[in-house]
Amino acid sequence: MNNNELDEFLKKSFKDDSCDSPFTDEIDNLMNGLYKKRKRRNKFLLAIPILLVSTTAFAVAYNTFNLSSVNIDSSSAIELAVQNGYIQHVDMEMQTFEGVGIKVERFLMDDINLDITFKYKVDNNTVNIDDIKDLSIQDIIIYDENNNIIHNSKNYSYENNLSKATGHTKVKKISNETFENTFFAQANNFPNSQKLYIEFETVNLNCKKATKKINGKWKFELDVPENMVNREEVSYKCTSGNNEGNIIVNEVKLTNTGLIVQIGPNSEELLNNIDIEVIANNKKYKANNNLYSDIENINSNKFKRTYSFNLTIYDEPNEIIIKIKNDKENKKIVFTRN
Amino acid sequence: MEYNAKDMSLEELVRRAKRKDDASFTILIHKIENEMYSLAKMRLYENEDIYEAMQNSIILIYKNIKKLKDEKLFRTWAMRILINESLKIIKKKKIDLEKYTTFDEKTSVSDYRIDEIESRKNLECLLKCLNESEKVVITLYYGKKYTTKDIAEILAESEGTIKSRMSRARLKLKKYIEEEHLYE
Repeated sequence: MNNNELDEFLKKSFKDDSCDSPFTDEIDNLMNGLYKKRKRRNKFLLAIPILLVSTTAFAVAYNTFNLSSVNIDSSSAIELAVQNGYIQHVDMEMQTFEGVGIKVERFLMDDINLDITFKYKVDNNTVNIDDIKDLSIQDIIIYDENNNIIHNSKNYSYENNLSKATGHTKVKKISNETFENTFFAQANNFPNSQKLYIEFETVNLNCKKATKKINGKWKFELDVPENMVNREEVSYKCTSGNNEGNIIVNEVKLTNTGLIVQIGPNSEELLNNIDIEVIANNKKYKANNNLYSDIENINSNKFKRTYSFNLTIYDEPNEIIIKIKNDKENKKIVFTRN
Repeated sequence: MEYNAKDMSLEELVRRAKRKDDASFTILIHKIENEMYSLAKMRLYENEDIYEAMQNSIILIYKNIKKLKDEKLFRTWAMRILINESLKIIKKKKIDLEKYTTFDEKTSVSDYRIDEIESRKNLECLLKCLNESEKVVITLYYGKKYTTKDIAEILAESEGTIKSRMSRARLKLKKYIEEEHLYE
C-alpha cells in the first residue's frame, strides 16, 4: 500500500458527517440564560438580538434535554437519501383526541425502507409535558390502495406482514408542546404503493412515573410521490467468482436507501450458516441484522435468502465485492455496474 | 442595537463580543455551531453527550473570550475548547460502542440505527492502534479536512509537532490496515 492509497483509504473511512446542528434552539436558550445571569449581576437591561430564533421558555445553563436525531432517522443510508431529496414532506391538519394531536410530517419509501415521521402536540392539561420521556404509537396498521399489509402491529404475524423489522426513534421535543419521532419498517420488497393508509387507536405517553394511554381513532392517507412509486434502482452484473462452489448470488440491486443481495438456491442448512459482507468504495458493510433476512422456500428442495446493506445509489459504487463464507466455502464475487 | 450581521467578519464579531455585545456573541456562536456539532460528533455518539460538550464549550467561550488576544484565532481556539470538553466526556463516561442496543423485530428505542454503530465501530477499530493525541490529529485531518497549520493552532502546538505526529500515526495505520487486509 503506497502513501496515496493510504490517504484515499483514510479519507473514505471518515464519512462526511457535515450536517446542521440540531441544537440551535437549545443553544439560543443557553446563551439567553448566560446573558440574564450576567445582567442580573451587573443590573443592565437585556437588548433583544434581532436574529435570535427561539421564543420558547426552556431550561437554562446546565439542564439537559431528551434529545434524538433531528433527521428523519439516524441511519447514514437514510440520511444520505434524505440529503439527496428522497423525502416527502406532508401538509395536513392535526387529528386530536383526548388532548393529543398527531399528524404525519414527512416520509420516505422504497423497496426496503419505510420511514414515517409523526408530529405530536400534547395539551398540558392531559399530562405534565415535562414528565414525558417518550411517545409511542400502539398497534399501528399500514396498508396501501391494493390492501397490501405494509405493517400490522395489532394482529402481527410474520406471514401477513410485508415488513420484517420495525422500530421507532426516541421522541424529540420540538417546542413546549410538540414532539417528533419516526416509525421505521424494513422489508425485502415493499410494493410500489401509490397511497398509504395509516390507522391506530392508542398512543402511549411514557412519563416519569407511569404510562398514560390516550385513545382515539387516528387515520391518515398519504399520497406517495412519483419518484417513490417509480423507484430508481441500479443493477449490477457479475464479472467474477459466482460460478464456483454451492453458494450463488442471484441478484444485486442498489436502491435509494440500501443494497439488496439475494443468494441461493441452496439447501436450507447451507443458507443458515453464512457469513456475508460487502466491500464498495474501499469500505466494508455488514448485513443489516435488524432486517429479518428470512430463508424463503422456492420449491421442495430449493431456498433463497435476501440480505440488505446500507450502501445506496448515492454512494455511486462502480464495483461491489461480496464476500461469502461458511464452513466449506470462502468466496469473493465481484459485481460491476450494468 | 442594529447592524447587518452578514457584513460583519468573524473578527469584528469577536471584538464586539469581547466588549460584552451579547447579540454579536449569539451570531458568533451560530456561525461556528455546525462546525462544533460536526467535530463533536466525530468522537461522541449520543446526542446528549454531543450537546453536553457543546454546552460546556459555549459557557467556557463566553466566560473567557475577553482573554483571547488575537481575534483571528477565535475559531481554532473555540475548537480546541470543544475537543478538550469532548475528551473529558469520553474519559468520564468511558464511552463504549458495545453498549448500544440493536433492534428487535417489533420495537426499539435506540437512538442510532445499527449501521451508524457498525460504521463507527469500523472507524474505532481502525483508530484503536493510535494513542489519544494521534487519534485527534488523524480525525481532524481526514475527518474534518483541517490543514496541519489549522490543527497546530487548534491544539496550540507547533506545526512540526503535528506533522511528525501525523507521520507516526500514518505508519501505525498503514501497518494495521495491511495486517488486517482491510485494503483490497
